[in-house]
Amino acid sequence: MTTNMLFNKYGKQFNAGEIIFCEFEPGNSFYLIQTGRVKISKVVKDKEKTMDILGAGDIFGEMAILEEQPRSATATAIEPVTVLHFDRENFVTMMMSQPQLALKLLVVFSKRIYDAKRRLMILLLDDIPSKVADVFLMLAEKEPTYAHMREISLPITVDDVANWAGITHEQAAEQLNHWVKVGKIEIYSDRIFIRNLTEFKRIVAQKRKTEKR
Amino acid sequence: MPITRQYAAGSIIYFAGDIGEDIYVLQQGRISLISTSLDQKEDIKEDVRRGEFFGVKSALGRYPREETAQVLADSRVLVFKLAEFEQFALKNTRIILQMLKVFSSQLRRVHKAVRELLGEHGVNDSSLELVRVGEYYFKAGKTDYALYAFNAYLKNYPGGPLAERARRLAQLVKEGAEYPLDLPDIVEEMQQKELALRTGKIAQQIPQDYETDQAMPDFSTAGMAPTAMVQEVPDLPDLPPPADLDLPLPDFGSAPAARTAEQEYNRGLSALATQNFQEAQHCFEQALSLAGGSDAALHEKILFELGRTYLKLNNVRAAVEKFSEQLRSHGRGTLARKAMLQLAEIYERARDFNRAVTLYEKAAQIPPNDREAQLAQKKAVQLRGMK
Repeated sequence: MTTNMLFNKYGKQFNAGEIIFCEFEPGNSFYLIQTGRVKISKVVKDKEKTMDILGAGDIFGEMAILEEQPRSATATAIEPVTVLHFDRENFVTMMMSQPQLALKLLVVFSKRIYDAKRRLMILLLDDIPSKVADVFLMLAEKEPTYAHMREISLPITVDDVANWAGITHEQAAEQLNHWVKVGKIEIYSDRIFIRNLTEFKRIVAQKRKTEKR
Repeated sequence: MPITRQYAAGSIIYFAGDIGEDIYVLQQGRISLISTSLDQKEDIKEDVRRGEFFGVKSALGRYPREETAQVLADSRVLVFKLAEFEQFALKNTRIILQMLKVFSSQLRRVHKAVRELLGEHGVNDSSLELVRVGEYYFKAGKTDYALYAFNAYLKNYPGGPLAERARRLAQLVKEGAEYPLDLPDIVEEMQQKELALRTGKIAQQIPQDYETDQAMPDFSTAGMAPTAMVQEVPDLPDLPPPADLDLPLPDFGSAPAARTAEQEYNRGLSALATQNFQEAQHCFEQALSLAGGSDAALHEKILFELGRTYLKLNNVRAAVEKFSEQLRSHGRGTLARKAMLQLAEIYERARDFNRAVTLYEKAAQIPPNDREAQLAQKKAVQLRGMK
């Protein structure tokens, strides 16, 4: 199939500012962006948070072909957007005729599995200091220079930490404030500065080692 | 072109934590993948099957190897560079599809575990969250988004407990009105309306007369008045825990699952409320086939309502099956007592007083000792005399 034929069959257009799907809405199609940019956002504690900005060639909503779970975020068109959209019905046809797309999806799934497992590892730790420390590590690991890194400034808030660690805002705040007091970290309105990542690596490594017996 | 490499027994192809972009296929020999469980408590060993790919995820996702690939017996391995693998995969789409299937089931399992650890809302709460997101957008002045969310609710859950609220809010948005300040708390409203959907219109209409069924003789003689039922039934300690049903693997080739279990369930409730029992049966059966183990509460509700729908359709045997299945899977569920009472009543009508008495007694023991329990106790005493 040519791109044009594909678009005639599976194409959809959205105007600037238009909503593509809404958080918690049931849905069973996923999207490949042809042109334009798409904002992925979530409402967290009465605030809308941008999770990601996607562009041509990116896919989103792909979890819908896996799970009967509602959308985990809202997708809106930042500018006029054209997408191809697929569901379980046309999925195999689509993948067979567009192997690049299948491969792209495979890469996305690989990354998602890793991210989800990494997140699970945090949640499986059983005390708050190691959970919070491991949130720092998880985010820092994404930096290419992680291995030699001493200090890092992470663009996260207390709520983000609580959310990643699966603990309450109060628990996260208490732990973070303690580390502020002893000079290990600094908290700003939009980021957290970590003075010495090695200390947090040690906290987590110690914990995992004792759990391993 | 991929190259062939020989490994001697005892050697290591890669270690967990290594960065590597090669992807392997075992051609001959024996190789084991050794990883640590996510809670770090145990080592997991898994043999690679002949012809199987390994090292795919970490190479594609560009993250460190999660496992150590150890050679147990002299082996011959096909080694792809990332680019070679991509070329190969593009020409062998079926292989990508197979991998997608494996990956997606892994991903689903991990997601399920994350959700469970976070104690996140089951499917049931997500319809509420949809309205809540709409209300957020309404308050934030993003009325287009608000309208979209309310309409999405109404489209997916037309007979849902928050339909009235969503409809009202959508209307207000269209009129350009302000967000109303007199709205009841959304969680309370949902609970009340759900209760009304189940009990008010439906639950008290316990069928008066069944047609003769071969398995259950003589139903028409015992025209008992319907028992009033109270909603709150907490856990019963000595019954089996709910079964953890696993989700079926996704089958990309299958027909589209256009609706979720919850949607079908809500459609079923609406159909029941409008006495459209055939439709209700269809919806609940669909819901049952879609419902996964991640939401035990929903699974229980579907079984219960399906049982009641069969009763309405005079299919007593199927009803008995569903109520029994519900009790087997969700013996401590919130609807356990109600299912027991339904069964008790069925047996009572069938003049099988032994079973009826046993069930009434069991139902009466489930706390709290409220009116429903007392009624069950009364029935048990009353029927004991008839045994």
